[in-house]
Amino acid sequence: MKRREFLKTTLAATGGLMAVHESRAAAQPKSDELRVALVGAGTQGKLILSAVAALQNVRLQAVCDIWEYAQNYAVRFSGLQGNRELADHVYTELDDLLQKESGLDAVLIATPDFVHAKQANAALEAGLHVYCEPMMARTIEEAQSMVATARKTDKLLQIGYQRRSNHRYQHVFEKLIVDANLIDRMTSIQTQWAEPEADLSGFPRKFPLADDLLQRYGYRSMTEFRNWLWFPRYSAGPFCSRVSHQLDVCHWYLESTPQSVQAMASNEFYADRPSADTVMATYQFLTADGPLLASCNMLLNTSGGGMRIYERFCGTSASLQVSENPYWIKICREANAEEWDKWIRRRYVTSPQKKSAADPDADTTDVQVSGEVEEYGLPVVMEKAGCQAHLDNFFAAIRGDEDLNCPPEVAFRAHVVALKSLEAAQNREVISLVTDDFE
Amino acid sequence: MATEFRITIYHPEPRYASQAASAAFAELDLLENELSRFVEHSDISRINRFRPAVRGSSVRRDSVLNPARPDTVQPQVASRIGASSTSNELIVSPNTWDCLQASLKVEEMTGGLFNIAFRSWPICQSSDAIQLLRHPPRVLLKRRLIQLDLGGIGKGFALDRMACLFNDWEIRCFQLAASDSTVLLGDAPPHRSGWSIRVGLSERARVMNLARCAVSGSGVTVQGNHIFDPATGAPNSLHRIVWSHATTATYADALSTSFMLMDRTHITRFCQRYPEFKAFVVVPRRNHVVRIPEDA
Repeated sequence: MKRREFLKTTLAATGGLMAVHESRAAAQPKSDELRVALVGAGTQGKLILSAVAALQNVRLQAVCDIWEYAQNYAVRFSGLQGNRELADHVYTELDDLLQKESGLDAVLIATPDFVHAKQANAALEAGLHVYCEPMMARTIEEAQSMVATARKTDKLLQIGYQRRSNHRYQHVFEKLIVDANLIDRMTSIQTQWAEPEADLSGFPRKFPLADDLLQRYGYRSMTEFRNWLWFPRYSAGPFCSRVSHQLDVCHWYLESTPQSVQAMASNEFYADRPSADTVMATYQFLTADGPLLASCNMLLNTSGGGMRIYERFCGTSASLQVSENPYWIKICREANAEEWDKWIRRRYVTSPQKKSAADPDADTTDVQVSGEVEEYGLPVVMEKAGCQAHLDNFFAAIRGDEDLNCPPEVAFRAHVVALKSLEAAQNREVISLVTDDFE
Repeated sequence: MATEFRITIYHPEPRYASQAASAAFAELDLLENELSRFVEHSDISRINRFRPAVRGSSVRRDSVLNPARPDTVQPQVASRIGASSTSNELIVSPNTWDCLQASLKVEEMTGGLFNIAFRSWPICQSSDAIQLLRHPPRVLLKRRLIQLDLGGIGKGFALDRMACLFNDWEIRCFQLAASDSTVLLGDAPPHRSGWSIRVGLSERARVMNLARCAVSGSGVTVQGNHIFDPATGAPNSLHRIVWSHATTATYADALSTSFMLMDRTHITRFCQRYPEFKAFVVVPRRNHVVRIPEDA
């Protein structure tokens, strides 16, 4: 079976899962305008604020954050957008918000991992749809509870693996991989997530959180509150948070999950942080074409050669390096593959940026300097930032116009594989992954 | 923007200063994503790509912008975001709105010499191209094929926003620099009357101790003759290099560009009319720097 046929067959076979999404997507909006509450107005919450502000028919009705500084930012930003009423709808407790706010359609969660399950489940139980930033939760059990609650309440739960709504990623999968079969036999995958060295985040001294408030919400210090991602009490860690996005793309493009994982991790670079700053994990997938190895590296102390964050899918006919950053995309045809003129005409790819000057049909061989590898482009422009496109899909699903691009059952697979990778690194063993792991 | 920024802070606690700088760079990243024409989903890129919808048509995902030219690969554009019910309006961020407002203000003050729409074809003033609307902040596009470029003001605007953030952090003594051409100065460093700032060419340069102000330079010595006269669309610099001095980096950045297109008499008249601004120009052949208005 050719890879393209396999993918089409697999897509058909997942119809049961799709049916679940469709039934949830049938949720009817109360009116044309959707009213939402933001829970967590920190780093990611700011992006959500901007994304929501750019939408005509979505209104930010309330905001919840335990930190006054973040609350102030949200109120000030919304005021500049003409939404001055938000100042009267600021909360520190989600339960309080859920009790007092009426007419809400959805809650957007951008808080630390360890409260995701509690907050998402509470909002779902309150009859609201939920958008939740990844990781889904800190543990597998917490994530399972979110899947179960979404099913029980029949409310939408979108997890923020935003590449799923990125039109460039969709184009690569639907057109280049499935339709044109440009890669042909996929033989390996390499992903990289590199970030240069950075200090732990601080905070403006005049906006501290009082010790009793920190303790009430489970934090031991302001440093841990501001850098929760690095502390296992609050988070699944930087590797899971980052690389789970890329694992999700692997699952999406391969339509399968890995059979095993082994990994090594190091946390020696940042002496003051208890989580790994460098992780190299290797996964074995079994595809219709045979076994395939994927290596996923996270390097949080370097820019990694300029192209910092990408997923590269290599095969016998092409290598497709995809990234949210258009400057880090590289589409290269293997020398022995058929010419891509047809795919250029059909606008699957754009003409190579570095075209070889040599004409193989000419009588005279023109001897010049070395030719360069031909790099093709993608004819897709992202009108929206990644987060914005993904939120747009969430709101469209609430209105019944689209299916969710990343329902919890889909995100759960990346969640499990990321956590198992860390377990493999900690125990220095190869961990097998079976179907039951993803139930 | 797509340029290099540098932050210098005097503070008794280096780690606190470093964390404040990191927060400022994070703010800069947000601004870059809103203002840069090199970022495909920035507000400015969206304005530059925007083509008013035909009445009654809907814009669908995968629609091709120019089906009449199948020989040209056209970008597939996702459903238009921020497009309001009036098809010529785009919702933009408060930052973009403020930066555009400042651009229009400087354009008015300079009689159109500062013009962020100079790349449009046919060329037009930005005040003829866009109108700013409030609540929510949005841009009304008054004509087709608008190309905005905040390269002459965006760096300074970003420096001002970073300084606002330093206010939260109670960082007072700082120097913020964008591509070595625009600097925003906070309080003077300890035991000094100001930051040592040099304007001018080599040995005839002038060194000043400055604080709580912004200085910006424009010239043809590095990038060549890259400053365009909005009336003609052609490069028309009247100086090799010129500097502006203002209370904000936004205005300093924009005015240094504009001063390149003014002769000394014009600059003098401008600074008399707007006494909060100064200029430094190099006297041809003698190469020394004079301040406008002239030093007492």
